[in-house]
Amino acid sequence: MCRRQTCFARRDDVTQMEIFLEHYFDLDVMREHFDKVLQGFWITVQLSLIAGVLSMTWGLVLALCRTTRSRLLLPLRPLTIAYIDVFRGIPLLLVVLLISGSLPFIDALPDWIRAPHLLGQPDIYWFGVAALTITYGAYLAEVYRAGLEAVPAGQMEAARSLGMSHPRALWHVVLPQAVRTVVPPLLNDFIALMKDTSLVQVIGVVEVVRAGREVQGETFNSSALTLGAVMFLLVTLPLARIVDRSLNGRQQLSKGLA
Amino acid sequence: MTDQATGVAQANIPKLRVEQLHKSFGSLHVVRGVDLVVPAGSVLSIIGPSGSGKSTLLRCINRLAEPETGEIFLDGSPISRLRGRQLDAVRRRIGMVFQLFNLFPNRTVLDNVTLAQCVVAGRKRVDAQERAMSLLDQVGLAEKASELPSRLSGGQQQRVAIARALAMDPEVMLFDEVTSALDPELVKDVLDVMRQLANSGMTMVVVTHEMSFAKDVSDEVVFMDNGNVVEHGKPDSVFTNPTQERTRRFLDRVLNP
Repeated sequence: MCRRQTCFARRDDVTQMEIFLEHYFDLDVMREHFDKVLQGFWITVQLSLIAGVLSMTWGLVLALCRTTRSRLLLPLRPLTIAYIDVFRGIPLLLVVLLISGSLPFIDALPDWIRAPHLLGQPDIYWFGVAALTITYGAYLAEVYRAGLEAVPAGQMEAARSLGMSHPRALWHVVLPQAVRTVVPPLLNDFIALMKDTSLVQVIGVVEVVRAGREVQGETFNSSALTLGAVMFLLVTLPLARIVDRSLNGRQQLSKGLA
Repeated sequence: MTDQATGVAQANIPKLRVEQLHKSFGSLHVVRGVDLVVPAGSVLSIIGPSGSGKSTLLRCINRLAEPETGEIFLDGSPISRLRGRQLDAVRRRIGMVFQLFNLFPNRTVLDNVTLAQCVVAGRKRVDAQERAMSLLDQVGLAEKASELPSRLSGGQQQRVAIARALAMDPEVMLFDEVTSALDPELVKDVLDVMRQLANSGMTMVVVTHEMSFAKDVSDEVVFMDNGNVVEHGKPDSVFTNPTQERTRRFLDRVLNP
């Protein structure tokens, strides 16, 4: 606040550039609220990791159901396709609101769904995780499916001709090859998921964007949000580089194969 | 007792018999009522133009393609309606080698040959590796055991694929145009391995465009065209004195290009 007053007092002799810098890159604001923003970022990281692992697992289950030839699982196929279409087609924010707004009031549901309190985190935190998992599970299912379909049919045939059952052939032969093609797009989607955790703030989870916004409201200065952006980039930029590198590596591998 | 039973079975019943097999893909009738008899220890070659249904017939035998009607007998037992574990067990007894090798590209040569032994046959890793090394030695590739398939020539990859199939101790081996994708100078090594295998008494069904192999190695030759068996007999009579005009034209074209 005091910084802002001095800013007004010296208004005439400061350049527009300095005003800009002061609004976005005020080191004092950053320093003062660093702990709060960092705490928020820690929540962002937690949400990303938990929802990341869950949606990768869920997405794989969906992809296997969608590509299954097993007669037992065949009825699940249209359901899976419908699920994927629906959740790829509606905004994550809407899913967040759907879950948090009404699940707590449906008495028929067990408590761990209605009001989850795991690992010392409140229900809104877990509603956020659920929404991210539900939506990103649908995205990732398509990524896995593309990976599975990219493995030549001859691989499955070779495995079956050796007497492997379908699940064994999937597990020992097809999936290990699919994983290689799938890692770069999975990492891309992980980056997207991490950024989308910010939507969970609308139901009250103080992740990094919410933390920055609260500081912005207090100080009329956006530097805490800039700090949040820097924290994001510290994670997302290296990840993006890893994606690039693994794509290059794969190109070299496929050239070697040709 | 089982030995005696199979002894009797082998005396009367062919290792493999195909009866009135039909297979369509949509409106395309690819195999139109084929009969085959393959006695134990014999080599049957199937020749014929592209699209004549040879490969589909072969793939029906180990059920990679589902036959529509007709029956396939392995040691006298029908296998065309088997499912699940029973089908897996039958496939184990029928080795298959593919035109494009289909080695597992992410595994070393040794792992390619050991994987199914461990996963399907439940062999211990050391035992599987021992068996794999002896088979790789047999196909002349023991020193490539730790390489990835991409480091091998096509001919070498195909010989690994043969070793991989043999590792399951199959009773019948199916070969689906296994030299068609190879550079000409690599074909001989693969055919030599197949000759060796035939001499060792393996029952083999070989879909091939290698007429000299079909002529020299097989006990019986089948000429297929348009989904039908047009002619079959001893290689000498089919190659030197074909009874059907269609066979004569085909042989004329492939033998004197």
